[in-house]
This record gives sequence, C-alpha cells and structure tokens, in this order.
Amino acid sequence: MDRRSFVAATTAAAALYGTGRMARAQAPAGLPEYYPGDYADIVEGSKAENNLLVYSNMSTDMWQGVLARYRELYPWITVQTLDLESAEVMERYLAESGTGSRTADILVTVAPDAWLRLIDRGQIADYASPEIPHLPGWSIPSPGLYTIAIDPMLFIYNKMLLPEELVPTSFADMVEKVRANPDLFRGKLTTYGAQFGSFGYTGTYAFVEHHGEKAWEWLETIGPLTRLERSSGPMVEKTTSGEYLLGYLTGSGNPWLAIRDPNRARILGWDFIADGTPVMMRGAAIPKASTNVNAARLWLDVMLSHAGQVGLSKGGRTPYRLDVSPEDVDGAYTYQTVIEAIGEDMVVPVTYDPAMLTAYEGFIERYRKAFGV
Amino acid sequence: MAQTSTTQPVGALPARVTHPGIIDRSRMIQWLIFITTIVVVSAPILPIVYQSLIDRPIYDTGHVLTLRNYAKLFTNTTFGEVVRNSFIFATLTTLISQVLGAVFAILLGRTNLPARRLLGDILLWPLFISHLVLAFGWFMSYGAAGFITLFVQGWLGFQPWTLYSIVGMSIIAGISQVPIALLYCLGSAALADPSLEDAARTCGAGPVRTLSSITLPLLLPAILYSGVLNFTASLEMLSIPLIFGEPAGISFFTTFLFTQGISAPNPDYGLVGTAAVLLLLIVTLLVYLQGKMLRNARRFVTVGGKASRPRLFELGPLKWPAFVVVAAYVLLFVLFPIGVLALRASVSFLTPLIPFWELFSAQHFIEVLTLDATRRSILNTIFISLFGGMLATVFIALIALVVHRSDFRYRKQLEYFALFPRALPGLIAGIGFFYAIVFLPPLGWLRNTMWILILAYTMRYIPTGFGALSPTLLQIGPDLDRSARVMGADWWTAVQNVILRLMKPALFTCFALLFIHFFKEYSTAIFLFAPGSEVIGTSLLQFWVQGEMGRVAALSTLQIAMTMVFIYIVRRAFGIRIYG
Repeated sequence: MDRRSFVAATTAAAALYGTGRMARAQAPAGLPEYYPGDYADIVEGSKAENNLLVYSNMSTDMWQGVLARYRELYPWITVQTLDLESAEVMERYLAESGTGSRTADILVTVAPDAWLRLIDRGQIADYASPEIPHLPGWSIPSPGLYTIAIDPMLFIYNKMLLPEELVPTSFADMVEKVRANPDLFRGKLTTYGAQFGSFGYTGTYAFVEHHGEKAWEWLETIGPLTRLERSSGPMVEKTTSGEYLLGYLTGSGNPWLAIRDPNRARILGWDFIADGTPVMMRGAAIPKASTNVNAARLWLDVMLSHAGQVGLSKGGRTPYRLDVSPEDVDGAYTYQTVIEAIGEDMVVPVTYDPAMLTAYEGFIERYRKAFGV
Repeated sequence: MAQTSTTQPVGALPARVTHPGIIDRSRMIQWLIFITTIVVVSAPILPIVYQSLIDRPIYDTGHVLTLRNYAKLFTNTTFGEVVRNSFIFATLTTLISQVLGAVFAILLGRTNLPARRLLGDILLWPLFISHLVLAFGWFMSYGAAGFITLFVQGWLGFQPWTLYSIVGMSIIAGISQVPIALLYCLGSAALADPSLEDAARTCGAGPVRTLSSITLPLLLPAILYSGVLNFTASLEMLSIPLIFGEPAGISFFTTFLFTQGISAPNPDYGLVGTAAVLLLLIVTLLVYLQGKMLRNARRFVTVGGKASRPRLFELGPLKWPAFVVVAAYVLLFVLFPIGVLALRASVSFLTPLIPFWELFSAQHFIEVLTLDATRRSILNTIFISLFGGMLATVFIALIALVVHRSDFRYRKQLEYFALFPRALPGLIAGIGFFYAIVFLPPLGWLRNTMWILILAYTMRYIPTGFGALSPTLLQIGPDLDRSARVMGADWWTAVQNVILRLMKPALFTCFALLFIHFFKEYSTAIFLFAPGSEVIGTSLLQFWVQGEMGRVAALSTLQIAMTMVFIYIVRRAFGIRIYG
C-alpha cells in the first residue's frame, strides 16, 4: 500500500461510517447498536472461557483505558497482559504454540516484519469484526490482521538544554546542525537500534526507503554520535534528565504521555519530522492457537470500537478510527490531526512490505557500519 | 572435593545390613536423589546443545542435524568483537575487584583501622543486592545524567567520567564483585599462622615489609581463586552490559544472547544455541580451573604449632588517612548508589533543573504497590524465595547426605553433577529450561507457573547450598550415625534422627543463603516468566524498558529494604551470620 491509498482511505471510511449502522439485535447492553444479532453467541461463549491472555508491546498502564471498557462490558473475564519486546510477542507465541503449551489468545504489536512471518506460517485466525465497516481499508492488511492505532515517529528534545536555534526543523536540518556542532551532540543523540527489534528496524527501513541514498548519508553523519536504545521509554527519560539532547525517529506514545505531566512538559519538547514522518501501524490479531477465542474476539472488537479507541488514547496511543474526534480524546492526537499536522505528502507509512524480510541482513550490515556498532 | 581414593567417607555404613541383595528404602531414596539431580542438571543443557546442532528453531518441525550454526558463529563478524569485549571486560573487572578486595581484606582483617567491623559489614552489602539494582543505582548516581555526575559537572563545567565504556562498566562490575574477593581474602587471612608474621617482625621487618613479604603472599591463593570466580561472574553478567553497553554500541556475550534470543526482528535460534554452548564451554573450563587451584591452594595452608591470637598491624600515623580512604570508598561506591536510588524513588522525577525537594512524592511507591503485575511480582518473589528456598534446602541436604554420609556407589558422580551448575550462567539456564519445556510438551503445564522458576533457581544454586552444608557434614563425627546403625536403624532412619538434627544450624544458613540468591535472581527468569509468574527482577527490567525510572527506583529500594529486613531477622532470631 502506498501513501496515497493510506491517506485516501480516510475519506472512504468516513463515508462508510454514515451507512454502516445495522439493525439492532440482541446484543448485550452497552454494545454499539450496529453489532449483529448473533454477537450474543460470542458473548455467551466467552462466559465459559473467562480468561484472556494478551501478548503485546504495551505496558499495563497503556492498557488501562481498554481494560476499563472491557471490564465494564464483560466483567466475568479475567485479563492478563504481558509486556514484551515488539518481535518477542511473535517469537514467544510461535515457541509456545509450536509445542502446544498455553499461549496468547490475542497478539498486539508494532512489528510489520514479524506479522508478515506469522501470515506466512498461516497462524492468523480469520475473524471478521463487526467494526469492519467503520475501519479504513488500509488498516486491515491481511484477513484477520487489524490495526488498533498509529504511531508517528518523532523528534524529541530537551527544551532547557538544547539551544533554540539548534532545534531541528527537519531531518536534513538536524543533520546540518549536528554536522556543525559535533562536540555538542556527541553521545547526546538517540534513536531506536534497528538491530534490537522490529520497531526500530521497520521504522528506519521505511525512512531509508523514503529518502533513498540521502538517508544513508545522513545516518552515516549522525550515527557515530548516536546512542541506541531498545525502546522509547528510556529515550524520553534520558532526554528529560539531560543525558540526551535530542532523539530522532522516536516513538510517540511515551513522549506524549510524559508531557501530560506539566513538570515534564517544561523540559521535554517534540515535533513531527517535517521532511518525512514514518507512521507505524499497531497490529492486532487472534492467532490460531488461541484457546479463548470468544474472549479474544471481544477484546479485539473493544479495541476497534469507538470507546476502545478513546481508551487507547488514554494510554498514549493514537486512535485512527475516523469517528474519534480530538474532543473525544481530550485534545490528544488522532489519525486525522496527525496526517494534517505532518502534511499528506510527508507521511511515510510503514507498510507490510515483504521486502523488509529479504532486505534484513544487508540493511543491518550497512546500518551497523553507519552507526559503528 | 579432593578425595580421589575409593574409600568410603567417614561414618558411612552399608545401606543394607541384613539382606544384601534387596533394594531397601534407603537405597531407593539414594537412587531417587541421584536420578533427580542428573535430570534437573541436564534438563537445560541438552536442549541447548541440541538447538545448536539443528537447522531451525527447536519449536519447529522437521529438524535436520547440521554444523552450519557453528560455522556461522565463527564467521559472524559481530561475534568476534563480542568475545573480545567480554574478555576485556572480565579481565578489567577481575583486576579491579581483586586489588580492592585484597587491600580491604588486609586493612580490615589485619590492621587497627578504626570502625573496621562496621566498614566491613557495609563493604559486603553489594553481595546481597542484585547486580541489576546495583547497576540502576550507578546509572542514577554516576551515569551521564546521574545525580552526582551533574553535581560534579556543575563544579567543573564538564563530565570527568563516563560509564558508557568498557572501562566504566568494569569499574561498576569490579566494585560490585569486591565482596567476593574480600570474603575469600579475609577467610584466608584469618587462617594464616600469625607466628609467621611474628617471625618476620622478630627479624626486624617493619609493618610494610611484613605485609608485602608475608601477609600478601599468603593471600595469593585466595586472590587467585576468587579472581577466577569473579572472572566467571563478569563473563555471565547481564545487567551492566545491558544498561551501559547497549546504548554505547558495545556488545557482550550476554547481551548478544539476550538480543538474538528475545528481541531481534529475525531471531536466529541456531546462533543463540551455539553461542550459549560456547559460553558454557568457556565457563566450564574456568570452573575446572577453580577446582584445580583450590587443590593447589592447600599447599599454602600454614599449620602453626601453637594457636596464638594474630597481632594486628599498627597503622600508626596512617591510621586516620586510611580510615578516610576506606570510608570515602564506602560512602561513594556503596552508600551513594543505594541512596540515590532511594531518593529517585521518592521524587516524581530527578533533574538538576528543578530542586528535588520540590518534587517529593510517594507516587512511585504507591504505583509499584498497587499495580497488579508488580504487586504480584513482589509476592511471587517472596513465595519463591521462601518456599522454593525451603524445598531447595531439603533437596540439597539430601544430595549432601548421599555424597558425604552414604556408601552409595555413584556418590562421587553425584557430587560432580551437583557442582556442575556453577558453570551454568543464569541466562543460559533460563534459555535451557525454556527450550526443555518447548521440546518436551508433557512439561507444558510448568510453563506459566512459578514452579519452573523454583526448579531453575534450585538447579542453579545447588552448588551454593552444597557448599554451605558440606563443611558441617564433614565435621559431624562418624560415631554418631554408627551408633544409630548399631541400634538397628537403617541409613534413612539414622540420617533423619541423628545427622539432620545435628545439621540444623547449617540447614538454616543454607536456607538463608538460598533465600537471598532466589530473591535477587533475575537473569534466569527472563526467558521463563509469564503473566502470573513475574518476579521483582523481571518487573524491574520491564520498568526500565518502559523508561519508568521512578518505579525502577522504588521497586529496587523495596527489594533492598526487604533483603535488609530478612538479613536482620535471621541474624537476630537465628543468630546466623550469612558470610563470615
């Protein structure tokens, strides 16, 4: 899928939203009224399961909003979430399901390459959510694989320590500023290590695809001055504490959560990347080895529903359903406002491109050279 | 043990007296212990070796045997550097810990340094605290944005040190390992015959001369032996390389395994298996070396004719300067890292840009105690340490009894198996048990429970417990169980009614030791924990990855506090002094 369809799908789904309402049947109270009548069967089925195991790369805190909504609707189900690294979600599932031990009922992670491998192995159960009419087409890259949120990649910086004239206005601009002040930035830049996990690899891959050879020149310039992290949590913490001055291609969830604390907002600044902001898709699917399928379907539908999307936003995730307005999420970013802010042309969608799998070895080799690791 | 003859240990009576051909219950118990030990110890090792020899992940079907993984590992350019970094790191760490450990041992054990008991106690603290927590403490005090670093930077205008280098990491690791060197050297210094020093002094040697030509050479075996221990420990250390090595782009054995085994976008199981086998071989070699050195060390034991109280060296005018140096060390490198952790735990966030007293809050402690998963991890850790520690104590006691107090045919082999886990790094034990379960689906039920952790921890610390029990067992006179046997008791009855009772203090010490090790363990759990079986160590790592430093600090502080309370209780209530 290219940028055009990623963005154009917006309008199509918005149109669908108006017509998607179906006749109300015997769905339990509180459910959206367009859910089909036999939805009650899934709800009934979940009563015998009453246990749901979620593998994701999100912390318990980030799940709170969704969890609250889920408990409100299906109080009989116990939910356990396990916070893993982006590709570890899949590896753990494969290892466990391969041997028939208890494993996740639903997988949620940002790892396009790992999802592709799971699709190849035929491990995704095809479940048609009643929310489909309300979702843009690009958000369902393969039957059964849904998107629950988007993750734009950002600049973050320490407002008190990074002189205002050195705050980057674009990636090209940042590289110039770093080139002009190597001593100031040495060891004070941070980003995801592409060799550490899927999030870093696929995000950087899409970024390089977008800019081509120029991106490698940039990375070769700033790479040797950069410290690599596994996740955005430490980037935000270390930027706030002044260990880092500037992070590039960072995640958005953690910084946006952090600046909800006014004390932190005094210190932590952020921006989209004006000459190309990679936007990741947070995938979710019910795997074939799920043992609590009904509970998992309910969880998936809650995440995709309007209320669930608002709940995700409470955990710092960016909802992408078009009927979620900024007012619904207390002014936090939504898909539309992100696309507007970046500008359609500068959105770099991180897609499920099979080339990511074949290009891996060569990419990492070049990456290691550029960063000197 | 150095016994090489085939004679029975003192006190061993035949397990069967009346009916030689029949396997009675004593024999059955001994066989059961023997077989259990072999199974438990080999469970994590065989799957790893197997994984290194097949062409695809162990969980896939259609394995084809191959040596390609080994070829791949040795041609992997990154791996060469990984090996080099690991060895440089281990060497520097060992140098630092041995030099400091020996100096402190002499100052504390052999001189009239003021407050040496108190200083000695505090110097041992790092032994009870998880390396992970120590590394966090260092990060928050001396890291690039550490509290103390920024304080010094405010003075000097620049940062005089960095921890993001092999040297920086070796300093942290070295200081964390000082207690091991210190303990061995103190023990050796206490055993040395004081009359040798007296002789030197009689011949006119001054204190410095006596120290350098008598005391220090006598310490050499202890320094070397604990040096091999520390070298091994730093090769298998995960925490410091993970926290300081990765951002700096410096890879080590453990971080290589961690990344390849857990997070890499395209995990290579063959490579993980092969690297693990290689590390296993290296550590086995080092452990073998330890055994050899211990045997040779006996040559250095100096047997004096008359027991006399060792005379302490007078430091004279150096007394107070030496005190200041040791006290400064204790303050800067033991108390500060812990103190800054506690401070970080008590403020909403720590930055030089806003005075910390404006930010005091109990928020992180409340979060840590109210978050379901974290509270569960604390309770699980207590459960595992308490009940797991007890179970492990019983199991290890049985092994020790069979090895030292029975005529069981394979007791030598049993001892060998029981001591083997010394060569098994925690991370590899975790990977190994994980593979074992993957490979043997009937064990699947263990997968998401605490029992797999108890099993893995027990396996890993058999040598520790065994070491705590053996000396006592060797000291209990053989006549005692003989008299029970003469009265008609079989081996099992004699063991239960006589030896186990006499061993009680040693059993308590063993339990206390295992409790502390289980309580601070984290690397074994990384591959094994699941929702419901989290432990403090895994919660700490998750908070770290999420960047929740406040919670990292709060949970670390709680872990240290709970350990201190435990040590205080066992000292007060049971009179057990763990280590020395």
